[in-house]
Formats: sequence, structure tokens, C-alpha cells
Amino acid sequence: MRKRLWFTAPVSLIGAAALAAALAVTALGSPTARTAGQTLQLASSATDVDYSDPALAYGVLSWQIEYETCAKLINYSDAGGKFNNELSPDAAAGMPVISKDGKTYTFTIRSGIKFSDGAPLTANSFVAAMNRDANPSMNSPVSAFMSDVVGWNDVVNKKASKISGVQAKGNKLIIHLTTRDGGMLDKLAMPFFCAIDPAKTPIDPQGVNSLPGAGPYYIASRTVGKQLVLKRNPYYKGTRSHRADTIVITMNTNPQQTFLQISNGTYATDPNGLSNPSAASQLAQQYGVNKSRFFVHPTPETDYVALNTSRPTFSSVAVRKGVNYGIDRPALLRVRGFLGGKRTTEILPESLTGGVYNQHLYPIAGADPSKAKSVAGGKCGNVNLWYATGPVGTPQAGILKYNLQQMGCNVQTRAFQGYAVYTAAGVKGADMDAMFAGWYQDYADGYDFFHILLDGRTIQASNNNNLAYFNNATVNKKIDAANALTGPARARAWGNLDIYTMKNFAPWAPIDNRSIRDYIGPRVAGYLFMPAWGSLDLGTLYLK
Amino acid sequence: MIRYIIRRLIFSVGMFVTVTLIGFVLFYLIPADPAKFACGRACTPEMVAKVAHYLGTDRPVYVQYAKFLGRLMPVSFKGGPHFKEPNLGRSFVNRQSVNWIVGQAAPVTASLVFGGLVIWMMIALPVGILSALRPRSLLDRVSMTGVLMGISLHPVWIGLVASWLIGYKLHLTPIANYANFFHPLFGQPGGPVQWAYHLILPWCTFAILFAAVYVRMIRANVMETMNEDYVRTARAKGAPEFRVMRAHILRNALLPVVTMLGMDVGLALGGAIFTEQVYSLPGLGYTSISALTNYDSPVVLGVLVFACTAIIVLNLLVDLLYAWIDPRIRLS
Repeated sequence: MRKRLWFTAPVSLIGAAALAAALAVTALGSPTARTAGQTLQLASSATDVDYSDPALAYGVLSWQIEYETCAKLINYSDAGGKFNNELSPDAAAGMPVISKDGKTYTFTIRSGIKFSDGAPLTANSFVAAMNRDANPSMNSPVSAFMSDVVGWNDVVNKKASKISGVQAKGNKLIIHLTTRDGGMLDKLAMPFFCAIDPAKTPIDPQGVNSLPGAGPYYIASRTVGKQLVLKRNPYYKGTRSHRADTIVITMNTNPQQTFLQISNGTYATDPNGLSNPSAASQLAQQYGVNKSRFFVHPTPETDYVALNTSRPTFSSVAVRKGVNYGIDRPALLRVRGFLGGKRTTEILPESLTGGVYNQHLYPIAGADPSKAKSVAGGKCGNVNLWYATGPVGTPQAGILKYNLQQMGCNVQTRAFQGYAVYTAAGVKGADMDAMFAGWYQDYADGYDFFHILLDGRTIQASNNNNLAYFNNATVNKKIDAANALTGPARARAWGNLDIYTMKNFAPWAPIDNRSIRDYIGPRVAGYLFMPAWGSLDLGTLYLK
Repeated sequence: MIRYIIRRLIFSVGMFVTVTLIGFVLFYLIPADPAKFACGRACTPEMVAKVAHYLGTDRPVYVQYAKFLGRLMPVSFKGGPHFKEPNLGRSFVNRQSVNWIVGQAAPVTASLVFGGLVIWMMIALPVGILSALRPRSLLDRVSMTGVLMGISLHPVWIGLVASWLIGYKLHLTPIANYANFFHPLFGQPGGPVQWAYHLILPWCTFAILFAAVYVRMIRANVMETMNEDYVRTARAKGAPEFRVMRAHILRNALLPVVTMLGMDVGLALGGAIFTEQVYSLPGLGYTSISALTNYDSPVVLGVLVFACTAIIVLNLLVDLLYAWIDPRIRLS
């Protein structure tokens, strides 16, 4: 045995060497000062932007970034560190001149605006952007919103190479519509209509990763899946906020680690919101809400249970109303964590109702099973409840199942992975009776909810968004009537239609309007929330 | 030996086709339409059909699979036979080249796996051998307790606790993230020292499970070999203990370890998912999880092809090495 000890010494040395090597590397490296100067380091936990190309980008984070990089005809302004929720001219000199029939919009483009590479922005920059959006090679999602622009579909269908209804004449940009569209201005505020420099933004089905911007910032570089860098546009002379020189967003970080890294100041914030929702309660206690480092705001999103009106159980208005009495909204919302949203019984988020809101048609304090049963007349039959599995979907399905069973329904649940539930439920004739769904506005107008989600004339063989398969002639007419209006009257019309629909037909059981919870680092100031986008403003953030 | 190699190569090709085919069919069976996801929420069926045609998902599964295999071939016969770069296609989600995505992620996973391998062997070899030399001693009992913990604790838990304690509380290492060895990203640390500094915790986390398994294996092998007749004979002939240990015990006891190592490096590519996830390392595991969440089948299949090829090549190398070392293998 003693002889074996002879071997023990060198073996122990190897172990010691391993430890020493690890310690040596630790000593050589040092934590990097990542927030030096006016470079903001942000972490986007668990996600990357879908695209940085304005023709393709269609996500909350990508639109948040393009708010900073884009010059649009009209926009929401954050001048002076205050967010204006009303549309105002951006690259246009003023609001457009709209013809009496509402079919022609004429914008005058401001002179002196330049892209980050020094190229001037002209009316042609917008014509180029729209032609690029419509180009069939780009397969841009924007085409779904622009079918009423004269000649748009001709380009999409390869019958023309340029949109005949969009013309530049000097500093004027003229847009012709096939029909009156009171929501056109809200649509034009979407980042799809970001001015581009055609020489630097070619038609590329894969999308352009970095491009000159005419907004306060431009996308200097993007490494897909890893990093996106925004730099200040040296030629920007507008009023929109641009505090930091550079904004670096590290993508796909771990949510729990991101929370720690925001806590210790490595990152300024996570633009997607609080990366660790279970910490919300503690943060609210520690920092208060909307005071210093923890902020909570409503987003323009409604979570709801779609009640399939084309199936036997929920073809009855009485049973659908009964469900609205019978669901436990507080319990369903609690699944989203502390301050995860605001209970609602309405279709539209508050910001789209023109002030016609807060009409609690159904109970929001909890389920009322006896009332639900009496309203439904004890008629609830079989319910196939579909949901997406996950930390929210699975417990919510359990709660709803219990609520429906209390009403006397016979509930069968079916779980799907992620968005597969939407694909399956979007097929007309699917044996789904009820499903959890959510809708985040594309642009700030009730039409984006009613036309897409509740207009029966849009029901098709597959790919339906009208998951309640709701088709009511009166509601369809009211949608058309509201869509013909403009300004505050338009918003109020959507608010009234919301109440009318829920009171008389109840195709949904709305649950909540989700909130975004933001947590910022110890050295970060300038937090500003943008209600129109439901996200924080990156341009106002800076380091103390 | 040549027949053996040919047999192994044919087996490897069969395995590759089987694995990729299963992966392909599984994605086809999931009732999710990537074209709808790519097109956007407000698309009409006509628009979705156009996007499906662009993505190629409107064709039957066997056509899609044949095209996939055709793209992977290094030779093309279109316009006369010529060599071409194998192509894994493009992501459904961000339309980037999957070759590029996998090429970016593979060095991160390789850094983690091979760095972790060095650490786990540096732990496993001395501890395993010392435990075998002194069974039931204090060292043996402590190391076996450590082994039990290493096998039982999940890498995510270990990673979260380690980054909180060592990174967040003690500030000894970064909490998470990766530093490129070459070409650091804008505003990020880079270079060999920062690369190693950022990988210390991931390496240790990754190594704990494997180190535990290897300590047990080395200990058992060494103890078994120590009782072999030829070891006893060597000692009886008066061979020095170091020579007995090096030439008679370790040479034989570590032979199975070499085999296991080859297989485990391949398996570790899968095990790296947890470590990459917890430390925000943009490697193959992290990439495949993100792609799975978004039903981005080209990226998942790209990672699958890469991992499958790596495992097959490593196994092939180990088999050949083993056959070369031990003639009984190739003769059988």
C-alpha cells in the first residue's frame, strides 16, 4: 500500500494543477465596464427580433426598435420626453390633405431630413418603401392591411411592378384608395412604412439586416441571434428623443440571469419587459410601482376565451352570456403573476375605445356560478376546450374547465404546443368549442380588432382569426359604419360597438388586458412608456 | 480492416438517413403551419399559400425530404456534374441561411464541450484513481458522496446557483454570456482570456455530471484491473509500482474510458442544451430550443444534421481506434 502512495503524489498534482488553472483564468479576466459613457446595454431575454428590415419586421421588439430608426409620414411623438398618444406629422410637414370622398391622401414631405448616411429623404423614399413592401419577392406581411390602396394587389399578384396608386410629385406624396378608410393614418404609422434609401435597401427576400435610418437612430449592425446595435443618426435634427449615443441589444439571454444582470447594472433593462415575472411582487415592494425602477403599464392586448358560435353548445347567446358570468377572471389573471394585467369584460383595450370603457357588463370580481347557470338556462352541453400548453395556458385551462363544469358543461380539454392551436382552430369546421386566445393590436384602431376577429364576412376555409366564427349582419354593418368615420367619433364608435357586441351577442369571454412590467438597472433614468406600442421608449433611456 | 471500415461507413450513412428522416417526418406531423406564422396574423389563405410556396412547405413530405437531401449533397448534376457547398436551407422565422446559423453556434458548443471535457477528465482521473487506490478511505467516501451529488443535481439548478453565488454575489466570474475567442461583438469583451473567463462557470457546471460518472467508472475499472493476474504477476516479478500502475493497470483500465469518451462527447452536444440555456450561450442547444419553440424546422434539422454527423464521425473514429488498439474487435 505504501508503494501505491508513490503514485498518489503525481495524481494529486494533476488535480491541483486543474484547480490552479481555473483560478488563474479567473484572476486574469475582469468584469468589463459595459455601461461606460452613453452606450446603453440592453438584454432581450429568450428572443431575437424577427427581422430588422422594416418590410418584414412584425413583432413588438422589432417595432420598438424601428420606432427609433424610422422616419414615417406620421408618428407618435416622444418630443421632450413625453409621449403623445395622438398621431402627429413626422417626415411630413403637416397632417395630410384628405379629399372629400376620403379616397386620396396628399402628404407634403419636410425638406432637410437626411438618412444616417447623409442621403436626403424625399417623397420618393416613401414610394420606394411601399413598392418594396408590395413586391412579391419580399412576401411582406403588410399586404394584408393595404388591399384598399389602388394598384397594391396588382404588384403583389405580379401584374405590375409599381403601385399605381402611390405617386411622388416633387415634395408631395399622393396615395389613392379604392374605398374610404378611416384607419389609414393609423396604418401608415406602422413601421412597414418607414422611409428607405432605395440605393441601400435592395429587394432581398431574406431581408436587410442593417440599413440607413432617417429616425433618431439607425441600425448599425445586426448579428442574427446575438446582437443588434443602434447608433445615433448624425444628421437627425428632429424633436424625437435620442439620449444614448449607442444602444446595444444582446439577444436570446437567459431570463433569470438577465434579471440578475439588470439588478447589478450590467444591463440597463430588458425591452421585452420583466424577464422574471415571479419577482414582480418583490420589486413592487422594494421600489414601488412607476416610481423608480419598476414600472407597470397596460398593453394594447386582450386575452379572451373565444366561444365558437358555429358549434352547437355556443350557438346559444344565453350560454355564451352564461360563460361570461361563470368564468373566474381574477383566478385566470392571477396565473400571469403579480400585476400581470387588468381584468376586463370588453373586446377592445381601453386605449381604442374613445373613452367608452369600464362598462362592466359581466362580473370581474370572480365567478358567479349560480347566475351563470340561470342565464344559460341550464343548457350547456359538451365543450371541447383547446389551449396551448405552458406555464399560463395549462393552469388557465384547469380553471376554465372547473368554471364551465360548475355551469353544468361537460368539458373535454385538448392541449397544443404553441401557436399550433391557432392553426388548428383556424380551420373552419374544427371541433373546437372554446379556446384561449389573445390579440395584440397591429395599429391603434378598433378596426384591427373588429374586422379581423369578429367580422363574419372574413371567415374562410382556413387561417381564420375569427375564432368565435361569429357572423352577425348587424355587427358587420356597424363595423362598416365605424370604419367610415374619422377622429374621436371613430374611436367612440368602436367603443360603442364593443359594448353592443358583448351585451347582445357575447362571442367572447374577455379575460384581461395584459400589462408590461419593466425593470430598469440602478444607473438608468429616462423611463418612458409608449401606450401606442405597449412598450418602453428606448430613445429616452440614459445612464445617470 | 478495410472491410471493417466499409461496413462501418455504410452503417453510418444508414443511420444518418434514418435520423434525418425521422426528424423530418416528426415536423411534418405537427399541426402547425410555418407559412401562417411567417406570413403574419392577418393574412388571407391566398397570401399564406404564396408564403408556403416560397418556403416550400406546400409540397408533399417526400418531395421536401428529397430536396433537403439533394441540398445536402456535395455534388450537383444540374448543368453537368460539379461540386457544391452542402446547403441546409433557410430559417422559416428569419430567412437566414441555416449553414450560417449552425456555423455561428457550433464553435460556442465546441468551446463548452471540449473545455468541459478537459475539466471533467482533470477531475475524474485523479479522483477516480485515488479512490480506487484507497477504497473506503475518507477521500473515497467524500468523492463518492460528491459523485452522487453530481449525478443527482440538475445542471440548470447547479448553473443558477453557481451564477447567483459566484457571479452575482461574489463577483468572481460573469453571471452569464459568451465572449468570442475571435472577432468580439460590438461593445462586448473578447479574446482568449475573456473567452475562458466567461466559460469557467459553464465548463464547471457542464463537467460536474460527466466528472461524477467518470469518477465511478475509472474507480471501478482500476479496482477491477488491480486484481487481475497479470498485475499480481508484474508485482511478484518486482516491477516498480509506478510502472505497474502506468503500464499494466491504467493502460487496461482506461481502454473502456476512451470508448466512452468518444460516445459521450457526441452525447454531450445534447447535454449542453441545459448549460447553454442557463448561461445564455448562443450554442447549438440554445439555437435548437429557440427554433423548436418557433417551429423553425430547417434550423432544428440543421442542428440535427450537424449533431448527427458529429456523433457518427466521433463514433466511427473511436471504433476505428479501438479496432486498431484491440485486434479482437476487428477480427470479430
